[in-house]
Amino acid sequence: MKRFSLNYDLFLSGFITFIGLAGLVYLHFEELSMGAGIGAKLFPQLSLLIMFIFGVLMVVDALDVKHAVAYPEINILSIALFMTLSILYALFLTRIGIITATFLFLLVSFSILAPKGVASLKSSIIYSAFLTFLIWIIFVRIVGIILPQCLLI
Amino acid sequence: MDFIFSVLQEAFVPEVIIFAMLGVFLGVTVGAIPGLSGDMAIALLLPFVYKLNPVPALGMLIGIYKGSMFGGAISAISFGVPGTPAAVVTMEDGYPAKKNGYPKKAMLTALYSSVTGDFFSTLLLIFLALPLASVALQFGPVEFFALYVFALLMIALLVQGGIKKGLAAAGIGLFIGCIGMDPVIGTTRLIFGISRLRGGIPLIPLLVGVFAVSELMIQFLKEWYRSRLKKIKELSGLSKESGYDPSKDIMSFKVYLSTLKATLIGSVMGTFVGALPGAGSSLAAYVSYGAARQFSSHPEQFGKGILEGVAAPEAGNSATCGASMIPLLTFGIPGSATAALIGAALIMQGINPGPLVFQENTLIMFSFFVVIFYASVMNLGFGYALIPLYAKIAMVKSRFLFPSVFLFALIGTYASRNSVTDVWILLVAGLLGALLRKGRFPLGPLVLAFIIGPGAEKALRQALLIGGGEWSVLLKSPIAIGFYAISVVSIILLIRFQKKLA
Repeated sequence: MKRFSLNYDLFLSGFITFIGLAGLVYLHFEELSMGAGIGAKLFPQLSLLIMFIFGVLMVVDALDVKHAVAYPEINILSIALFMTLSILYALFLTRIGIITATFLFLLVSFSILAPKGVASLKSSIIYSAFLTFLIWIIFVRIVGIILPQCLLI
Repeated sequence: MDFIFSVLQEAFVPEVIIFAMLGVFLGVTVGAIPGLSGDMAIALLLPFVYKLNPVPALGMLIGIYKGSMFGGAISAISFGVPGTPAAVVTMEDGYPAKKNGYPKKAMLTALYSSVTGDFFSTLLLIFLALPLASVALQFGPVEFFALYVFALLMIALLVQGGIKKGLAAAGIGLFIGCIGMDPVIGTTRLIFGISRLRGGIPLIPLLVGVFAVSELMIQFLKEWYRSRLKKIKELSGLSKESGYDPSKDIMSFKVYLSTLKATLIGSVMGTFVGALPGAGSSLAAYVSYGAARQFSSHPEQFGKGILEGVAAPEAGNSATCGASMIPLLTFGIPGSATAALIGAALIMQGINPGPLVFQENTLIMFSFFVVIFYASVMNLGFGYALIPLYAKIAMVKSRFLFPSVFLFALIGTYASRNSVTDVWILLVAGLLGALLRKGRFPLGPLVLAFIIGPGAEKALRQALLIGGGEWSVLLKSPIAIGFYAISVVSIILLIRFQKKLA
């Protein structure tokens, strides 16, 4: 008997199938204006139906054969960590200030991306400061973006 | 005559020339850097595009498109690391040619064939766009809906990753495109109580997120993984090959002529593949390489550093540039993901790509054609003069590059409308793109479906209104039946071809 294992393909296909099905159920109970002739529900229903049908077909495929995923070195945890870093940056950008947020993000990123065994704090600080200045010049002085009032700069 | 002068005047304004040059330089640079791509650069620049006038904006974007096609070959030949997915095929013979002692010949063959392929397809674009646009003017909602179905099916069928994944990605794109107001009666739908979504998902954060942020996320995490493993080794290709004799590595007209057959095969194949919605430059490069080997008098030399093996894929992938604009400018349906981004830029400039584009924006569109031409000449000039510099840029340390470009994408998206909501949409779109990339889902169908979704919905609902709610109205036009028939035949042929390959 074949052993069941949850692989990434199965997870993703299952998720798409679930969204398709859940969306169809949601739309069934949603009251949308029908308008003249054909209503506003039709196209969302069609798109969800496509997701559901091909999601099911992909689930069947994923059960049958174990497909190779791209970037096996990247897992959901590392994606979640990157997202956390990005969300923190977005929050800092609008609350602390563009210079502080950018410098901190770059410093943390350069430090964690430094090859093992390479002493790089000094170069990380220099590059972070230089790129922060460059980004500030481009976006604040040249493009003129308007940021909310922040605690720092 | 006055019109021609006006067009030339518009196309040769210093602002247009400078932005086109900037675009070509940027395109070759990002193409040369592994991990960055022309799509990504165009997506990153979208927030800034509508601050420019239409012709310079389009000149810059088309410059990036053309430049990136050749740029991918630089790192493929120099280091055996393809700068873009389309350059993987160029590497097959380009890198061995370099190791055999002919780096200059390989690089210049790539450049000349790339520019030849690009010229060929641009000519075709100019001669085909107007007649096709006038044909498209005869289309009603029934025909347009059939065309949208055909385009979506083709893009889902031809992209790498499989038909099911392509169609599922298209479904996701259509669904995202449905969020907000419906395009016929303005009913708000699928906003889940978030009032800021009433206007729909904005184009810039979605495109930048799906194309640029997701790829940057992947590259950032790959770099992180590598950094935890070991010290990064210098690429072996950086060192000078021993025994290199520059006198034997001279590119001449005779050498160019010896690769002309392969270049022309690549140009024809690339133009054909590029004009099909969704097929893209990678497929064009593969098909061109295969055809050139088939018709070569030295097929056994392919893969060992033969210059024909460099010329064909380079001509093929560059020939998709002009060709992929044909369906965009005539029917409003982009021929590739990059063309979809250029279509988005047109929309941002208030220009609706489609059959009426030449009537409503005559001067801009003809000036754009002139810019497309001279951008190819710029590509040739920059490429010839700056190949050594580009090769150095390609080796920029990725640990400094990816976080910086990521911030550029994030702040650039914020800057486009000074909206924090756009930043959140960007991050969610980036996450979606990264998860789909990891599952080997093609992102082209998602973006194409998102862009053409509202048009397809409008066409379907108008058609059904005309037919009094009867679905059979969709089969009452011979043109529409033709499109459905081609779609069905394409599916059958592709499935049979895939089975044959398996």
